[in-house]
Amino acid sequence: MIKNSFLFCFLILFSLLVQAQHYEGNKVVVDQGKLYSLTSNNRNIILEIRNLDSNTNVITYKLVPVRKMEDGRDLVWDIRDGYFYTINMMEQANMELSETLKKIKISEMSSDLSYKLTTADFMANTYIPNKPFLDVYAQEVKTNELVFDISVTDKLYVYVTNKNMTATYTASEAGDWEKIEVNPSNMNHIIGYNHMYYNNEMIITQYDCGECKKTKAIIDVKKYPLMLINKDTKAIAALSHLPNVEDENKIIISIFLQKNSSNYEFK
Amino acid sequence: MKKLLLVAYSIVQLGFIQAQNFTYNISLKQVSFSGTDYYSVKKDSSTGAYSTPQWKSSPSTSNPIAYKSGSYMNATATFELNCSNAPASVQVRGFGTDSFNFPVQTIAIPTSTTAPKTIIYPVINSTKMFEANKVKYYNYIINWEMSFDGGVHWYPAGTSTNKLYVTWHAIAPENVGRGYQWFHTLFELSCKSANNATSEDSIIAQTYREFQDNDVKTWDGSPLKYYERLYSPNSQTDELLYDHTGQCYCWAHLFIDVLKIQGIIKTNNYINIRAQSVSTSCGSIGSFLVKNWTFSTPTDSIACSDMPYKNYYDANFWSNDVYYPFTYTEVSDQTGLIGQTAPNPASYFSNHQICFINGKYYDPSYGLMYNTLSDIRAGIDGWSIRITTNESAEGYDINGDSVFSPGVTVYKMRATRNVNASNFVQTVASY
Repeated sequence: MIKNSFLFCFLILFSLLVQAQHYEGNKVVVDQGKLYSLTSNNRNIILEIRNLDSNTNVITYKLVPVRKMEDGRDLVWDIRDGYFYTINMMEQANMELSETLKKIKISEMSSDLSYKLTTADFMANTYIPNKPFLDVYAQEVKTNELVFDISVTDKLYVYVTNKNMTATYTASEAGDWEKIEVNPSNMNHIIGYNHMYYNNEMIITQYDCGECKKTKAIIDVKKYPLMLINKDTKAIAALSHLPNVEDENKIIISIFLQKNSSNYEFK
Repeated sequence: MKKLLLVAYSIVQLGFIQAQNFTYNISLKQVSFSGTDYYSVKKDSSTGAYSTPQWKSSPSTSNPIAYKSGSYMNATATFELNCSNAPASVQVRGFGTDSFNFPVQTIAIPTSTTAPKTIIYPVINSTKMFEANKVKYYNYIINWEMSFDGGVHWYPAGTSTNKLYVTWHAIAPENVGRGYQWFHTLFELSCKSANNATSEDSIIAQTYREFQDNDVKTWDGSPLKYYERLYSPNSQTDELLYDHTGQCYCWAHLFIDVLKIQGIIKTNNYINIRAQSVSTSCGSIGSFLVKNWTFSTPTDSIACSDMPYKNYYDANFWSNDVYYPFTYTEVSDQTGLIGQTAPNPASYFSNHQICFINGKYYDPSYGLMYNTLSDIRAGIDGWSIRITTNESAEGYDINGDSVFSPGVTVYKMRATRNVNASNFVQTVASY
């Protein structure tokens, strides 16, 4: 089990044939020796879980009982200590804005991937009231100007920006929210969803200018669009290997962590 | 007078008999439509486009066709001719509805084949084009005729019938991922209701009248419902046309999609309205009650004076219900605002989807229109909050097991009948 340092040399190569129809987003998370990524079938978001200690390449699939925005924008999400955190943007007239922040125990997620979501799902797993959303939606919002993201380390972080406001919030487990000042002046240039990582008092974001600010290294986002967040090693890597879509039903995900990639380490 | 008619009839019959120096049997087999500005209409079932030929005698087929205004139709037809003494060639023509005819074409009869002979009327333009910038809706009939003597005498050769839709401008491109395709029902709703319209304003007004009677139907007459049950996952036009029921999301999309069929494309036209999250003594207002709801005497107003009324419900709330199955009720749903083909649709919401077009708010779910956002408040009886709690905290045994368990979730609606307690705020999107 690799922990606490990226100086250990390791090579993980997955060339996996999976059944999912669409690869979802640009983020992979390693947490407690497991590797998480998202795929989807026709309507449901599916969490793929791989055990890094295993040589068998066994993948577990779990239904994520939420939806991304129907206009195709990514579902923002993160993993911490066996929980899946997300903001549910399901198009559902009965879902209150304050209920959109979800914390779902991964071990209790269903394996029935054909399941049809119900009212119980959008009301369930509400973590704490989504104050960042209540704030940003207090005024008129134009969805094409709205970007948000989520990150979980020791605390939960939610970032929101639109034309009228840009803010990062943090929340304790008890649900106490606090606005924190970590945003550089050009935060509006965040390129989209699942591009934020918070660690050691640094907010890491990827920008459309092609740089990753506040890191020791400059990562060319346009060359490395897939972000891997390794919470075991407290490392982040932008990967050059994009999912290689062979056809609609087969996706090969190749993930290669470079040996001695100390330029991706945070201190 | 009778004698005169008899003489005239005899003369006509004489001409017919003299012309027909052989026996014949013509049957129209199929007609195909095409053209530069032809649109391939999609099935409501999201299973692709209707097939061509769009008209066939066997199996009996009559598929819809669509064109942009200011264009010509193209058509080709196939006939079978059984005759004892066929000439070397025949002439074929078609008389269509509203004088959209197909001109005389001389067609050689193949000599190499045995009877029946196949005669193909070539792909050719209609004799006139559709009037530019004018919506039309036709039950389009072509009476085909054939002549065996150089056009002296003409004989019926079959009749084809197709629904014909002519759009104002070029149709907006499909967006399959968002549920917008060139569905048959979109053409039907759009072109039938806006028939003869020549301006954007008249198209929007005429089209919306179709929604204002709360009786929107598919092209084949099936009612489309706003919440057949109190829960629906459907949020897009394709889902509404497939299931025939859906949320407000479907209906807002449907109205905009119907306008897209006429080439009317707007920005900032899709509005998500929510309750302004006003803080109260028991949380922030997050939902609203669409008319009509009645309020009984509150029993727990001291705990939350701003939102004095409460209802309880469990986690399986309304998934398959047609009425609100509150387990404890101080606020009761009554018949009120009528939705699309639904006398008392769902009416307890956290958000609602409407359209904003040329300065007016359109609420297709109810067939209503508003001038301002605040006008929409006239349609509600109160505001509410959903609170997730448990049996122990509430002292309420929701599952009837005589135990106030902290592990059993209870949903509590807190409500006020003061419609001035909050207002609507909007999220604007371009769809």
